Amino acid sequence: MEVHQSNVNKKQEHILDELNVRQTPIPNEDFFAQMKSVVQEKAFKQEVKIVPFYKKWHIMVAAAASIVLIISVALRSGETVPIEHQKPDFASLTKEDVIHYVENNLPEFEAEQLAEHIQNIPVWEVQKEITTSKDLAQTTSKKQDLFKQIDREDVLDYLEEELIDVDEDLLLGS
Amino acid sequence: MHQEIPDEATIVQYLHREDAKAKLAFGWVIDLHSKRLYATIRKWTRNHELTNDILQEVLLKIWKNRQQFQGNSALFSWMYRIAYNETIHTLRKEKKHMAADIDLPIVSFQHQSEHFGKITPEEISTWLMEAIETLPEKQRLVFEYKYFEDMKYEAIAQLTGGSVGGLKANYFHAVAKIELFLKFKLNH
Repeated sequence: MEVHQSNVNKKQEHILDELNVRQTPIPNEDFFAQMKSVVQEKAFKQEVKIVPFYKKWHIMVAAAASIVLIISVALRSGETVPIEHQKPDFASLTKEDVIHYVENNLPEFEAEQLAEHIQNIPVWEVQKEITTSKDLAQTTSKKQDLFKQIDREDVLDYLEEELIDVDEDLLLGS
Repeated sequence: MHQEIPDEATIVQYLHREDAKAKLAFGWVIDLHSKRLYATIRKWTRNHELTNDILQEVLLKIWKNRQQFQGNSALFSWMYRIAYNETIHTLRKEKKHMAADIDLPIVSFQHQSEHFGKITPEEISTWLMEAIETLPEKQRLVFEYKYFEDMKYEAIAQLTGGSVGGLKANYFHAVAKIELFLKFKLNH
């Protein structure tokens, strides 16, 4: 039994010697000639270099320029100028400038507003602290009589001429 | 007029060019090595159509990558490596193991022997290819061309650029590893 096992092991140790190698089937010459033509045609056809669209230099430059442009536009549109930078320079205005403006733009003022304040229309002095139009309206700075040369009657006449309908209660200051 | 094929150094020099001489050299490469590459690939695939597809792909890769070949090894060794890698990749992609679904076993038993049990030629062929797959590249190449093609060591040395003594050593190491592998398979 041991001899048999030993013989088996020896046989298995040289397994390759116990095998017959079968010849690999090889096609005829025609096949290789045709295969050569096919391969050469494919290989040399691919030699025409096709530069991908995104690799063309002028495309890259244009793309980079576009990106820069878009970023700069986006940054600009996102800019918000603080209100304080938009403040009009009221400090440089004189009283005469204000009166001149009011006279030239009187129609823009609402009749109700004028009527309401006809008794107490202040002449106020623009101070240097005024920074916004809102502040201008609400200022409690030193006031002077802006319309001291205009009579009450003149105002009423004006309103009547302009056919501006005003609440009498306002006129009477109730 | 049939032009005589020059030596490998000239072929490689031409291949590195970008003109008609490169194309000429590529033609020489196909003439010299396509049959051998076909036989190698066919042993693994056991299928003519698949072998044809892989061989064409291999040759195209050789053409595309010819500038990468720096001459550190023999030209055929480099081509053999491309062929082997492409075959393995294709077989794995198609989920076919080497030598599976064979139509012709690559080996058979010389005589019916009880020592190998009920192993069929197909099975032993499959195991043999599995064993070859485990070999380092140089041993694999030498074993294939010595065992399957019965090439002389001098001829293999011309293909691979190695010495005859070195090739003999590689071959004997390969044989020892394969027989150990097959013995393990037979007894388990």
